[in-house]
Amino acid sequence: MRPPRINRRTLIVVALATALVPAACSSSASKSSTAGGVTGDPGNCIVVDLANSPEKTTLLTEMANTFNKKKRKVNGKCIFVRPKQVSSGAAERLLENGWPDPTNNGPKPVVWSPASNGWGAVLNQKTGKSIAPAGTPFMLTPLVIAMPKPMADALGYPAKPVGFADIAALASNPDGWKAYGHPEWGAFKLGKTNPNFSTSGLNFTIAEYYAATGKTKDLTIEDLKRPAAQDFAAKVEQSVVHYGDTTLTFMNNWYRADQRGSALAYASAVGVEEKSVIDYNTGNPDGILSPGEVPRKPKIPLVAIYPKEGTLFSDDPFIILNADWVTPDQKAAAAAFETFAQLPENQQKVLQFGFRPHNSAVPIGDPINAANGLDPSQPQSELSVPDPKVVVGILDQWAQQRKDAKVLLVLDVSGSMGDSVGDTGKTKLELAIQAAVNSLGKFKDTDEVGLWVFTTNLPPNNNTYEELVATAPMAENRAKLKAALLAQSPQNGTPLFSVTTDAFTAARKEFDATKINAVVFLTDGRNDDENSGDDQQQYDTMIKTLRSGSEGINNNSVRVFTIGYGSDADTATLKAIAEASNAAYYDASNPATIDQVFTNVVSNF
Amino acid sequence: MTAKRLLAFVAAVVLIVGAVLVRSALNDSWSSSGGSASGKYTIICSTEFADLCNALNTSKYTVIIKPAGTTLDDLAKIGATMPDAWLTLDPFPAMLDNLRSNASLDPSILKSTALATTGQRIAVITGKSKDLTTLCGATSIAACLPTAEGQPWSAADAATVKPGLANPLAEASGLLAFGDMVAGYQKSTAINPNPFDDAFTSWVHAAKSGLIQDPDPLNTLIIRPSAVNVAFTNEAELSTITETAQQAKFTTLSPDPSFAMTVVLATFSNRGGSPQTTLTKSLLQAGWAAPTPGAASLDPGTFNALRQLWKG
Repeated sequence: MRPPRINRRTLIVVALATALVPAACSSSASKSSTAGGVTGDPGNCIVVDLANSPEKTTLLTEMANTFNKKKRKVNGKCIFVRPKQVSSGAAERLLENGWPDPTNNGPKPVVWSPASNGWGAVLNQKTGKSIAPAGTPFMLTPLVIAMPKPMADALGYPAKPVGFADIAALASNPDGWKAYGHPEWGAFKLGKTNPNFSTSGLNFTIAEYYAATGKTKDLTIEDLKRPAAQDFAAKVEQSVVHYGDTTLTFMNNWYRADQRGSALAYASAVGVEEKSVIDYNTGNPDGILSPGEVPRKPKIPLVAIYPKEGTLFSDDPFIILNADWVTPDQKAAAAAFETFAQLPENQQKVLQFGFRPHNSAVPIGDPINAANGLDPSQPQSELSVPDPKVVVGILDQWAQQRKDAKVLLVLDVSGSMGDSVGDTGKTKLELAIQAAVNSLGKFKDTDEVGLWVFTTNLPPNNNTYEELVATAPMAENRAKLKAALLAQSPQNGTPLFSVTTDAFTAARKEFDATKINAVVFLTDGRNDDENSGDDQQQYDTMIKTLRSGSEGINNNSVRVFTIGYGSDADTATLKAIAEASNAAYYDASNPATIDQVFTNVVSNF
Repeated sequence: MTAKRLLAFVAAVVLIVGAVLVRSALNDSWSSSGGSASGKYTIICSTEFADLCNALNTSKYTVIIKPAGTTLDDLAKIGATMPDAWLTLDPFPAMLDNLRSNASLDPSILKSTALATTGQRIAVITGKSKDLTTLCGATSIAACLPTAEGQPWSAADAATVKPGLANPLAEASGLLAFGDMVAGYQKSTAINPNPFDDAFTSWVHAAKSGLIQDPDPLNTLIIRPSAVNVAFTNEAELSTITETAQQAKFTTLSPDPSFAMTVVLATFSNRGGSPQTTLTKSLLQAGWAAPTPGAASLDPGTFNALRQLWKG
């Protein structure tokens, strides 16, 4: 006689439970209680790690906190969602490589929410696998051309529609704004992010090619190869101020320039998401309010120009990954969070953050309004996302067509750079050198790169820096730079202030208007030139030199991108240097991340 | 020695009994006709009914949300594990058994019950219905969309027609919408999906390459008319658009001829606990109408052929 059904099932359930419960308990014990802004302890819940593009970090963190508290269950288990900010392009490359080094890159994601589904298509195209199935959008924001209102007025917008082709014509006009009756605004300066990192940059570059061909869909590889299209794109790129991994750098710099009364000198237009215009015009240019930060509206507001040819949308999908590390439970849990994000109350929150809701039950309303420089009835038409092969082709072509760079690398070789880094078995200097060497391959042959090292008491006359390789095209300098970098060893003090001033001044002397001119400054310490008596004077001189050299319409702008390396770096000073030169500060307080940080810095060129 | 033999014998018996128990339990858990490891009633719901099915009591039901096309392909395979029930649109369950029959497999469905019905509609961005009607001329609206796609609304309006429908290969509502397009082209719901006609072939090609495949075209029309400004929808869905501001975004047209959309619950097992009553109530509350008594099911062979036609 067969035993009753219930007994056999019970037998198996008990056996499985006996085997699995201790594993679950020991696993949960090792979880950290807080990660990436999400509060609470995942306990025994199913953890859904979510890699999201930067502009929605605050929104998703708030949403995840609310969701986690609800203790929703799938398959009898609660869910804990844990968002972590990773730029769309960086996440694509990490997924392409199986998401290596979770310690430094963050946990392997279950859900990927890039700014656009296009990144998933690029990933699938590059890997030949369907790792990223098309995800359902949970909010939208169109790419717009953000322009200071007086400049948009000069173009006649909105009465006269403006498009990418008009921007290209203006960018390549040697008269610049003089052609529109405003010689005092100088040349047209375009802000555009690196399309390998940023969705705005990618969409703007795609739009460039559409404008070059007059098409609005079905862009082909053959279209990209047409000389007229290449010439068109090259002219647009030539007007670029600098690139970068995120539009937030532009918005912060623009806002600071506005507060100093020089917004029109920093940039004429920047390709950004509509949401960024709201943030800027409400005095919160990066969309992140620090504790105690009070938003103050800019002196000159921005206007969102919806290009007449049409535009592309960031559709912010939830992509539940088909990756070998994603379990069925995690997929089910991720789907539950996705459903939660589409609820009207959460879509209302999406709107509050300046995005367009995906759920039609929540109509578009404030803050997407004219008072913030926007038109909710726009855009009237769209450009189609090209076939993934074409997108990859655009990225390849951009790598050759982007504006050339002229960069001076300034590397700290003070004694503290000889400190060991954790269990890597390497010193800080060795890791920095390796990262710098790796970055050399990211420059074009026509980019010009030079190298200084700095410390105190350098021969022959107790100098503070030494030019190891003079700035010259990479075609001839690449090997020299590598050899010079690999020959370095830690030495003495850190004359941070004086060397920053010297490097900036030297780069300005060699300024080349056809290139992005920049200094990349890496240091692990504070100013220490063995004479603390003149530190304040040196600091003031440095900031004054940077500011005066970066103001005005026709300045020879050299941007100083700073990297704070290790936990002892003088973060405040490095931020001040970057801000004074309209550049950006990069945080490598964890030395193990220096390779990624260098990659992000080089994305500016 | 005897004690050792006895011990070995007892151990062998324990192992054999254990193996039999495990095998027997696994057979019960993973039978090929209904049932699940959890013992709960398993129902697969087509994507269109995700909200209804997700509202079912999870202590009683295991709910799987899947596009109808995926479910159809999965369940048509040899050795497929059947759920207890499948909530989808007619004629998908019949299409499944049609495919199984073609593959010399036994029918899988014990019973298929119509729960609710609704009519298909075409939503057009406000102010453009007349332009679309003019653009289509004598051709039915549904059939005209593949050729109207990308055309300016009128000589005075450079903006173009952007029709959207759910993917006919994946979504049940998408295949029914494609059915309406073909019916419009052939001026009858008694359609022939394989007329071997060049004009028909190029029309299908235009539909596949031009129409925007969107899982929720009406939602996209409302939130993003720059992407979709003509959308296949249905009366039930339209009844859920209650916000005045959203209703003001579009007007609707009725495709003619048109297939009715009927929700069916197909059961694969005789297990008790079917959610039929709950689902019927939810559908009626969600704007669906009670099914017409005695209404005939759509022809499964035709719709399988339409699916193949879209697949190419």
